[in-house]
Amino acid sequence: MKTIFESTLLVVDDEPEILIMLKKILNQAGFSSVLTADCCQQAREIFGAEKPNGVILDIMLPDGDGFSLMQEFRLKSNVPMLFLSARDEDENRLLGLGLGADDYITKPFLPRELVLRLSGILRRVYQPMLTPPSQDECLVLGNVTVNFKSGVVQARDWKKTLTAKEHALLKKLWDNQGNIVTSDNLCRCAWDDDLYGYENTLMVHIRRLREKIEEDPSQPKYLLTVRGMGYKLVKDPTL
Amino acid sequence: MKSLRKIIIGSILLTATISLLLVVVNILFTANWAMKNPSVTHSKYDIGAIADGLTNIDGAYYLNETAAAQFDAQYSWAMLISQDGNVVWSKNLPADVPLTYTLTDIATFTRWYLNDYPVSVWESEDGLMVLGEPKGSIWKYPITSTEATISQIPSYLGGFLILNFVAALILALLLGSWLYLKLKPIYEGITALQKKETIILPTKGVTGEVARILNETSVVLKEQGKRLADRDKTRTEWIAGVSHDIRTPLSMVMGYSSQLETNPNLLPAEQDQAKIIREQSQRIKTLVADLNIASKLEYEMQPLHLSKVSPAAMVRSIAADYINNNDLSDSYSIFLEATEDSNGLSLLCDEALIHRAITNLIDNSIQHNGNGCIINVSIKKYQDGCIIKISDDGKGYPPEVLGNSDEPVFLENHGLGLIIVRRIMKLHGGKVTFENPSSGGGSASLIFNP
Repeated sequence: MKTIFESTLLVVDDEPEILIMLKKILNQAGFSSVLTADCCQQAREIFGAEKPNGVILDIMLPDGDGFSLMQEFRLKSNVPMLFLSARDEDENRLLGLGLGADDYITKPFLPRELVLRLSGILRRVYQPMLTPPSQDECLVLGNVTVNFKSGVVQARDWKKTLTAKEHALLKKLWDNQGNIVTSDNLCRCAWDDDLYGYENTLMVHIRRLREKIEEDPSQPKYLLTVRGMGYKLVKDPTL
Repeated sequence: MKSLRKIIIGSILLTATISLLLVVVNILFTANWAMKNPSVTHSKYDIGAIADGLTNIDGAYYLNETAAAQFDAQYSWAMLISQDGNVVWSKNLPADVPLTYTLTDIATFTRWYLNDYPVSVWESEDGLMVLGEPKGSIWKYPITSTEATISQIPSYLGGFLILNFVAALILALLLGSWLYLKLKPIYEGITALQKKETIILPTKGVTGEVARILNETSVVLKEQGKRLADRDKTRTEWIAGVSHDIRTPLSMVMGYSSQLETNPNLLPAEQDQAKIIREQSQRIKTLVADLNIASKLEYEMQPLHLSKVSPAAMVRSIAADYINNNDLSDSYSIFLEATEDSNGLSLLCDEALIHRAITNLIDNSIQHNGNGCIINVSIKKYQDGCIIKISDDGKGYPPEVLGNSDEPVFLENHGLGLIIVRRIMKLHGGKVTFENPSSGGGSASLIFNP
């Protein structure tokens, strides 16, 4: 397997029309090997014989339910699994129980959403195996390069080291680059606590971080404040 | 129990007042009656006038006309007893009245009766004038009492009054507490009935019949409640079933229209049509989901998953999600304002439902202001809870919504969104209020007050 699109997928749903449509959608998205099953029994057989790289599971099946089928598969394999649910009630079980499912989508769904979610999980699981690890994880911000492995901010003529908290905050922002990360999430990430009482501490750390990565910390270009919500690392800092 | 106590105390006071009033009325009535009937007190003072009307003219007695008229009106017979004890004059004298009297006879009949005839006497020039009345017409006994007794009469009367008052009060109190004890279970029964509890009251004693009826009512109410709940449950399950079944066909519509939308072999106009089908099927999805949750909330079939949540963190994350997910087109912008003290707040709530309420309001602002608007989400501490406010600078809420009544209003084009918000807030012991500020736009406030 060179790319995630070469992975074999198993789709389990009791509605034959849905199976046909899912197969078409996935093929069109680039997944060439898509197997289908319309009951638990058939799914077990295919799972045992074909060893798929990813599974999409409906919850209501004629001869059982998706939850127990997933637990059964989990005993044998760690392949990513995605639930396809038709009931709002299932949402609570999926959210609350932490059944080991990688994600879930409720019907009716948009094909784009399904493909995005599925590729996301597959990439997370298989990408490290598919591509050779890059020498270092680096973030380039204008003239500054942040090396997350060493925790060093490198410019042309100087070098600064990130503190543990600054590192955690910047890593979190980088993981969500282009998106707003709320102050609450940043706090949870750096201090493992609620924001309450840390408002000023967070501000101080962001200011110090800006002093290290921004050319003009009072007019930040990369690490932006989103008033009332949190902070955001701009999507394409090279521009 | 407070109101029952009030009723009983009221009835005690009323009883005491009525008793006292009766005593006073009796006294007044007796006094009045005694004054209006002076004859009964045997004070026929005109006996002197009659005696004076009897004149002795040369040994013969003659009763003048005025005296005779007075005599006829009041007495049945008369006689004059001379100093030596003989009757010297008489009128209508009955046969059984003797004609001579000893001192003893006179002393006796002046005090009591003469041969059972009640008589009155008057001292005249020639002797003793005796006026008689028919037997059995007058009660006549002289009353003798010591001076001390007479002088004590006023205080006795006062004491008697006080005694009456105290007795009336004690009786009223006893009656009141007896009533209280009897009515207490009935009162408790009615209170329990209101809470739809099953009651089994003892059916003995004076209140037995009422207790029996209450017991039966509680059974009837219980059955009725159960029937209603069953019907609601059936309806909710039915809606849940339909909304589940519609998902598979809707998945197909959404899936294939979405594929057509991006099919390069189609003309742009055809792609647009596919887009419309996709968008409308998404609308159906929302409507069905809303219908399902609204019916569950309405009939209390929605299980509450309560947890402690920071409302400030929740609104920040919701607002950030709108921006991060690119759900908003350029004509919309969303801002957030959280007071510093709101960060310390913690709310016991169903996070998914509150999330739903807030997004419903934001979606409402977006849907009803097609040309774009600025949405402001704010949170602040309010008493022991908080207020989450979602306001926009759009065209504002329709007047039907502004009433802020607890009853949901169904508005065309608003779907069930606002009804769901109201239900969710009610379920959390809070409320939602809508207003159109004078500065323009519309504003909805979720008020949590635990």
